[in-house]
Amino acid sequence: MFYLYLHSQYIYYHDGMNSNTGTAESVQQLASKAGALIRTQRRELGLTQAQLANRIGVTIPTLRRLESGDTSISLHTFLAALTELGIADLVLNTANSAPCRSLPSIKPEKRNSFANRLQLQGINGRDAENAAWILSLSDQQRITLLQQQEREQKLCGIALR
Amino acid sequence: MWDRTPIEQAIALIRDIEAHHGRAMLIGGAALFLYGKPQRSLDYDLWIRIANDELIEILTTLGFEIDSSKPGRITAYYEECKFDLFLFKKAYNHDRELIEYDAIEVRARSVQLESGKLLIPDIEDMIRLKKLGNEVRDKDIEDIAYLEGLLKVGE
Repeated sequence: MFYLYLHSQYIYYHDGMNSNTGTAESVQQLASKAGALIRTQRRELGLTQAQLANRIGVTIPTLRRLESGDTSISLHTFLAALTELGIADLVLNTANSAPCRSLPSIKPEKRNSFANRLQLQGINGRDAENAAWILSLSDQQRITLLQQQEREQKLCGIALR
Repeated sequence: MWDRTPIEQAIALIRDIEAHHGRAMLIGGAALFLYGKPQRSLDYDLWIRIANDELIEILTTLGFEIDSSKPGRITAYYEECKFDLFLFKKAYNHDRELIEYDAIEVRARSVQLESGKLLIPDIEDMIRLKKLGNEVRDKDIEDIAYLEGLLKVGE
């Protein structure tokens, strides 16, 4: 997010101020998100605005502007806040991090052999067959299956607690 | 009949947390189901990074009944379904392994849904998470055995 934020800001400044309304709006949205992230993390750490402002060497009104997404706040202040709150690596690395891996899945025609291999690992036959079947479904189909089971359990009056 | 089933409610909760710039992962039995192991219980466990007061506001808006709220953990009910919501940033499990949200999120698996994506911990992190808490129950041992079997079989 921050990479995009910086990147957008870079374009914004080099395209000429206000010449690119779409980019300016994107920068404002990202700044608002970044400000909200800083406020959330500050609260999680139990810090007041006065305490965080003191730690990063700015006034309370400046910190309030940062948390409200004011894009005129200096890059130094922004980075100081991220660093003090311990989220600089998280925010700065977001754009460079590897995409999340997907769920394990198997092809339907491989279900039997997969179930057999699971049984060889000590998984009982029924669990192994269930697992092979579920893992042959798409992510959305697995969620849909869960929804169906929950509806059936509700209809049957099965106590969930 | 449910207005929303528990999984639909869990997804709605995650979406609202993200809209408030928080982060959330599905853990526990529902995540294990997505790894292929059916669960008898429909309790939901989520690991969430957001301020407590914001989470309580979101839960109230979504119609949850908050049962208990203490540092690091909120228990709430959606009809008969119990939601354990963990808010800690990091902890050590029984094997003295560090369980840290940021690190587990980086390794997490993405569940692609029509409504967007969900995150669940990677298989090895699911095993580490199973070893959290005061005791490792028989059910946890069974779940760990399943996950280890899945790891050995490969994808």
